[in-house]
Amino acid sequence: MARPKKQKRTTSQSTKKKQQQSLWLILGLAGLVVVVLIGITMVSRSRNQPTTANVVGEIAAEGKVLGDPNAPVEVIDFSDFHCPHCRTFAVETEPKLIEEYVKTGKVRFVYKHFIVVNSHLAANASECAREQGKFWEYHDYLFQKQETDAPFTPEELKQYARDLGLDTAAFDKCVDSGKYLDVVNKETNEGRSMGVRGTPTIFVNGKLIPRGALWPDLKAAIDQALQEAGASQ
Amino acid sequence: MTWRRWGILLFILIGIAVSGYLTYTHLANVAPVCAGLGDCAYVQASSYAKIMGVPVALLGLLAYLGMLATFGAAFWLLDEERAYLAEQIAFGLAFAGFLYSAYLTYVEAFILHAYCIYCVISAISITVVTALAAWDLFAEM
Repeated sequence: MARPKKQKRTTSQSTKKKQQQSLWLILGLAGLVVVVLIGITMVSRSRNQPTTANVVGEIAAEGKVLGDPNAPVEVIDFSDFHCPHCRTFAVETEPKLIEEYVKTGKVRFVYKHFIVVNSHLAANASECAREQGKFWEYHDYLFQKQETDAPFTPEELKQYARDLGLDTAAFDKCVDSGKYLDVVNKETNEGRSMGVRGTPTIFVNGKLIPRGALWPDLKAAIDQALQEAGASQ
Repeated sequence: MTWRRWGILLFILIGIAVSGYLTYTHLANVAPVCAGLGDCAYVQASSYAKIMGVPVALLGLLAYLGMLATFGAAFWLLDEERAYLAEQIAFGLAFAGFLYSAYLTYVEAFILHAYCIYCVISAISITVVTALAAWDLFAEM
């Protein structure tokens, strides 16, 4: 040991005082660092929200299809409202896709349900919102509210519809009756038959893109599909 | 070398093992896809698992390595006065890690409703390290 106990006891009062001061300083700094880290987490969470619905009205949107119906390339996103990676896709990749390819009429973007994380009710509710022409608003809102792996409750789903100003009588009935569960299951089965194993899984003109949720990989696949479409015209 | 100090080093090594493993899985997860998510994958995929793009597990690993270096220097390398300062800095790192772990455990319990066993092991380790380091420091004051 570099510091045997006996020696320590001889430490002078002024040294002790200095040591105490530096300890409080270090503890204060440690607390400050943690507060800053938590602050950054909170701020980046509140800033990183999906904004896909912002372009509705600016570009064509029909149900769960965003963009020019005659666009040469179709991008399908098999997704789940409870899947955190789907939230990341909606927050980080969708805005780039929309800005660069959907707004320019090169791509139409299609959302399809693929249930991995107990999200049947949420998926059904999003169809109820689609019925009222508000699918993308509801899509953004669900991802914004996604914090837990516990399924959204029917009450929560109805509250979100109220928040968004939907016709609540029709919406509540639609949620309670599970009106679109067959659509949700059909799309999940369709995905499974196309080779979808998890979400988000991205198809570009019918081709499954590995790592397609990542922008560089998705962009490369779209560029290639655009080239192929151009060559065949 | 007291048992307290051996305990500090032991729990830092445990912390390095679990945070290292979590960093590895985070970085190796090249295809970000949810497929029958376990609780750990869920916690790691959540938006709380990164700070400005840096995985929290990596931050944890760096903090544990920093603690290993500063505690190690304090216990073996430095003369008395510098050793005391090094131990204070090490304790500061541990204390920051302890506070942040407490926040993450709160997030797991009350926001995500999912526990990642490795995160829990790390939280316990940092708590023990902080407690033992406090004891060691104040015993000397």
